[in-house]
Amino acid sequence: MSTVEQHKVVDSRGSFCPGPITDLFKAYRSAQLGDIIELLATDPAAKADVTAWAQKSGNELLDIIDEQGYMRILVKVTKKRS
Amino acid sequence: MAQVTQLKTEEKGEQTDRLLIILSKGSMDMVAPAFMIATTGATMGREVHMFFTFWGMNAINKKTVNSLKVASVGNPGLPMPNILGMIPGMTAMATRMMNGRAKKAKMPSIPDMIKMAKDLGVRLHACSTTMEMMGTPKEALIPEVDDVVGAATMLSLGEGGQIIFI
Amino acid sequence: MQRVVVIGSGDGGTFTANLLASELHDEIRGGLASVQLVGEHIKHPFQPGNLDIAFKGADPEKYVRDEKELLRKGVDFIQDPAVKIDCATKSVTTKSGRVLGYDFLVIATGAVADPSKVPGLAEGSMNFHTGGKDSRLIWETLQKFEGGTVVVAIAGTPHKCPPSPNEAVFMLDEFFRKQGIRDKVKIKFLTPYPRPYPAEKISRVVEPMFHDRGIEVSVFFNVDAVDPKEHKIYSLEGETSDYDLLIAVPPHHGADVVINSGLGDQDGYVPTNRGTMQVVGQEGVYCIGDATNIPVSKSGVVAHLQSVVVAHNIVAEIEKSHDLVEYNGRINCPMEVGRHKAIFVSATYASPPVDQTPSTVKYYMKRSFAMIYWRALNGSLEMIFDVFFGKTRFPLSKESESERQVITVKAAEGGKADA
Repeated sequence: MSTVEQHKVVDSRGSFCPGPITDLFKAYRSAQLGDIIELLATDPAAKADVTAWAQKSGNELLDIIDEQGYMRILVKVTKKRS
Repeated sequence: MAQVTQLKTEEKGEQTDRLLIILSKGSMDMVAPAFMIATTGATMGREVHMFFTFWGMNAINKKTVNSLKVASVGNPGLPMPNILGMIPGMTAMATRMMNGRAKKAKMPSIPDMIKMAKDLGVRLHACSTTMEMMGTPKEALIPEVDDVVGAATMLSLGEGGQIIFI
Repeated sequence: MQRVVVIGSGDGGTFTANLLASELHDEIRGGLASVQLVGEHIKHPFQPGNLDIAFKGADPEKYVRDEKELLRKGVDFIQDPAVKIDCATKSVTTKSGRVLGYDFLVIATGAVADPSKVPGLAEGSMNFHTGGKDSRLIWETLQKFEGGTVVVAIAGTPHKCPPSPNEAVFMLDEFFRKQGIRDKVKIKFLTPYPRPYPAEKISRVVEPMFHDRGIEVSVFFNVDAVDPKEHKIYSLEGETSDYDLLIAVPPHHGADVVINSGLGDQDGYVPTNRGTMQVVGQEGVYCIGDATNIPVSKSGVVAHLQSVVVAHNIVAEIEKSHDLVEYNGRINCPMEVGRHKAIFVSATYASPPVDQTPSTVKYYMKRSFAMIYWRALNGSLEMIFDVFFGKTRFPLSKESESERQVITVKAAEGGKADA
């Protein structure tokens, strides 16, 4: 098992219902504390959903960047049951 | 064939609106809509009864249920002058045309519609008066028929609900 | 001779085989085509019945028929599970070692509910997704339940029948009220989603009803493990919930034959074009229903509508008419909300679910569908469904097809690290 923090990119563009947030959860499930998950999404609901999840779960929302035609949401895993 | 129907609105445990369809015609353009209305009402939760009288009995008679025809004379709905409709063979042609269209639209056959109606709990009642008049024995009826009743019972089947006469 | 092999004799597989047998009737009679259905089970269950079995005491036998009875003449039913699919040699191998060659293959192997994928879940929970027998166990347990905390949890996504966890909650609430012990029971709902139902407009209808009926809801609860001895369920996010009775929707994955043949993604689902149902990167291979990776409801209605598309497309390929059609993503998931009322979660790829008012008519429509399910499987009631569902298949547009291939491939690779 690696102790180096990983930066995982989850490409959820074009995904829908409920798509991006569950793709994020998949990555979260196999992530370690300190890992960064970068979610790419086109679904506008992704912003609100990820923000709400980060707040409730105690994980850190690093940044939301608007690119051409999609968004990048960066989350750092700071809270996870070991 | 089942025993004479005892009427119970509380049978399903819930109050449902009754729908009684009285079918007195035997041509396909009359029988098909009757079953469509019956099954639609059943899917919406209504207690549906169909009463077959006079030519409506064609739809529940083993000999005729598979070969219902489309009327070609005295049928204002069919776009054909009555005199043409009287030419021998016109009924058969009109029926074939309707059947062709129905098949293309993949419309269920009358026997299929009857089975679906039964799946959905629609009750089928044969008219005792007609049967006596025509001398039709019970064995001639399709197995899906629930019972043979008279006019009085028939009217109470529609009590409190909606009655549609075709 | 054009050989069509369908693997999986559930809703989608059975219906596809019947449609093909009907549309290729003349070719089959003339020995120019064949339709073979490879299925593991002698019996065919109506899976939505599990809710009635678990929460209303329905007899499991009521929801099972012999598969053979449901098939049209012209379908060659091989009751012998498929264990390997070899796309290179275009062959399917069954458990008994029989090898079937195909020109067209339809993968309809469904999704498997698997409690063993979460530590403690199999031992600590009951569920109504693994079949009638397990559903019956819930009913028997409920009869003896005198009070305490009942937890309904979603332990993995996606799962079969999106509304079913909420339906379970509504039915439990109704059951305990009927028993007269609702005040002695706490009902909790744990979901990984941001809201009580994943689709927002539907959630806005469900949430107030949950609230009015005293259901406690925990969102963003991703199940990590269960302690069957301590009666606790834990989330990845660090939350814990106690329970006296745990009813959990298990995690699902694709069928073994798909995984063992190297055709599945990380969860065992087959990367599939969401319109034509063609399997990405394979010639003459289609996939339908719960077995695909398409992010659409895993439900019988979807399998049914996709079957119509696949049957049409295969016949078009056989008859070389090449007028392919595509599925528009139509879903129609009924959700019973108690008190003889229901709503329909209804959507297409282009339009998300809309607001719904619970009604008795919809409740009866849901029940009616169950009554005609067996007859509908042979294909004779299609016109009625067409009227209800509206147009769900459209001629293919070249641009959208290539665009969708890209998206579907991306979705299949989703979750993998980039560098």
